Amino acid sequence: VNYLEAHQIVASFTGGPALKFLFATSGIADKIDVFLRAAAARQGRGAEISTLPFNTLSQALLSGNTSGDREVFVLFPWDLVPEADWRSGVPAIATDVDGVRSRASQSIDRLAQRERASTLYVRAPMPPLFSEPSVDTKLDAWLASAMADAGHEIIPADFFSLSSYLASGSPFASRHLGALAERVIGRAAGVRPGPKKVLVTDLDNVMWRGVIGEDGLEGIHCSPEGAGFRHFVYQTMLAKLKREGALLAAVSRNDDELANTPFKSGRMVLQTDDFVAIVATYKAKSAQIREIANKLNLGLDSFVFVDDNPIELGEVASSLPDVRTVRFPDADDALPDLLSELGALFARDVVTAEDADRTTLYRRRLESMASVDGPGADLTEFLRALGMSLTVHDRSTGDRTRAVQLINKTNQFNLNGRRVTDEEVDAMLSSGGRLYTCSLSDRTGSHGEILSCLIDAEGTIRSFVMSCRVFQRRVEIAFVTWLAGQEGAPVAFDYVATSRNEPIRQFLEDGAFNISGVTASGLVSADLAAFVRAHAEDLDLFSLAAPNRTTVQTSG
Amino acid sequence: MSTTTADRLAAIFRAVFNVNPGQDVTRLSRENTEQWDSLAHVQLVMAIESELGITLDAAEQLRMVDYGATARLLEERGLL
Repeated sequence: VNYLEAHQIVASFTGGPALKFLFATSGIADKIDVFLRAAAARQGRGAEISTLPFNTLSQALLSGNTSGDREVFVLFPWDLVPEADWRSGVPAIATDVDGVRSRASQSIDRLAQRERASTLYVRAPMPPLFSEPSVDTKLDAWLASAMADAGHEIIPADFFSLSSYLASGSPFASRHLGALAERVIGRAAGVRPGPKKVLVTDLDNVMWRGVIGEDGLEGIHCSPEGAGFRHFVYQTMLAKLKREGALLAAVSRNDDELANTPFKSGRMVLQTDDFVAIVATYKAKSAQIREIANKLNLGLDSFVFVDDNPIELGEVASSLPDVRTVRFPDADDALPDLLSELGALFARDVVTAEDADRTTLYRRRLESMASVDGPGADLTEFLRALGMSLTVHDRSTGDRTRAVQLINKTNQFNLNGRRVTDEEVDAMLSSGGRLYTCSLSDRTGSHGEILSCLIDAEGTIRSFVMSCRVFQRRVEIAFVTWLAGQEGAPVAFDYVATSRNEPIRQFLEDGAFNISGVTASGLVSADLAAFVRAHAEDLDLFSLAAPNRTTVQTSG
Repeated sequence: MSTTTADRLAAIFRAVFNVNPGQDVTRLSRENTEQWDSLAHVQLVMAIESELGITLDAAEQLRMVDYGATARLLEERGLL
């Protein structure tokens, strides 16, 4: 993340649970502020950051933590060895190495006594302190070793900028501010230092290019060429992490069999056995990840979740704040940053035979993964915080291109899989039918026109489709609830099971629909009054704009 | 300066000094911009370094007294 991107992220962020912490460093901290806020926003969090006045770190260390807030220290060698501060120049008098080490040890001990503190140590170069250069070198190594032994994270020297420090008192190298901010926010969120253990990855448009439920096996790409190249590289990175002891798991809104198909095809770097679990349901990803954590008996703070969809990342960050969320990039050039971040999160000094065999050990333990049916703990609250606006469009007249396109390209949330021609739609509308679409927007932006519904003159829904991009938002529920209040509300669904439309079957399992007792004409009858009674709260998640209505501002 | 670099420099000035999108940033200077204080100057240096992947030394930072001087500095650095 560079400056303009960080600025844009902060400007477009509309709020989330506050991350309150002290950012403690001896230099001027203003320079990193926008990056800290952007890093917090990327995790769906606001940031309440307090800082220390310039050059008061030593006093703060002596006074202890009086606020009780979490503290993140970013220290440089001169915070432990004041004689080594570049801004003071080279010391005029000889320096006693034993005294230097003794005083540094005292500072390290004081840090260890702060219960809610995390420390990052930037191993910046020091000016020469001793007559013998090798003593300077040994002091540098000793400081880094002492800090590492105390459990502090060591940050490479190039995160420091001497020119910036001399010019402004800010010791941070601008080109690494984004990466440093990510580490600071991770610590502020209470993420435990040390290597992560489980990488949970999304599948569609992450493990491969495309949507398996829509494009099918032949339509997804993950080979080392063309559109799939980025995903091929990502899979090879995951294979490396697995060899080094990480556990891999996958979560996806898909049918279980469908999600597993690519891994059995022989076309992927990774195979089914490389994962401790592949969980494919249509429930919240936070619920899927929690279930995996419970079965593996591992803490959520040892989990990393990779997804390309900021909404999914936000839902997980909101429901499972201990899980580290990482966004899969939408550009090849951003891939090195992703791999670097994953490499750092799972870094191990030593790889043992047990590390390499860990997946097998856990797979034996698991035997099988049951379906995850539990909803996300805070899904409703999360959806409410999204500030969703749903606009219903009457496409019975005028341009219906997108409405027909949606019906003909959607597979999963599709009432019957039936494709329609524009002429067929025109005929149905001419005889008294209706065609609606919905567009959705929220605090992250517009999702476009994502739902289409075609109703014939007799009140039977002949086509009902919704983009998989907005699954789990309750858009379909809000739309049908709205539809129930319209004149000539539908009375039945023309449902046909297909190999891919499990999501709509689950929707029709609602008590208001009689999916187990289809009518003589093969229709699923609908009691929309009962549906409305059961789902009034779901409509309240949206600000609704609809034909013949003014915008209704609801809660959230 | 290349168009891309010029556009990014203008975007940086707008973001750092909170300038409206339609306002001409090429006339901004420390003299005529109230919000261009020492902290904003640090932000400006950081933003340019971050965006363009360069490091500006103390002397170069002091030369950045207005938009034009900053643009000339970048031209001298070969960011044409």
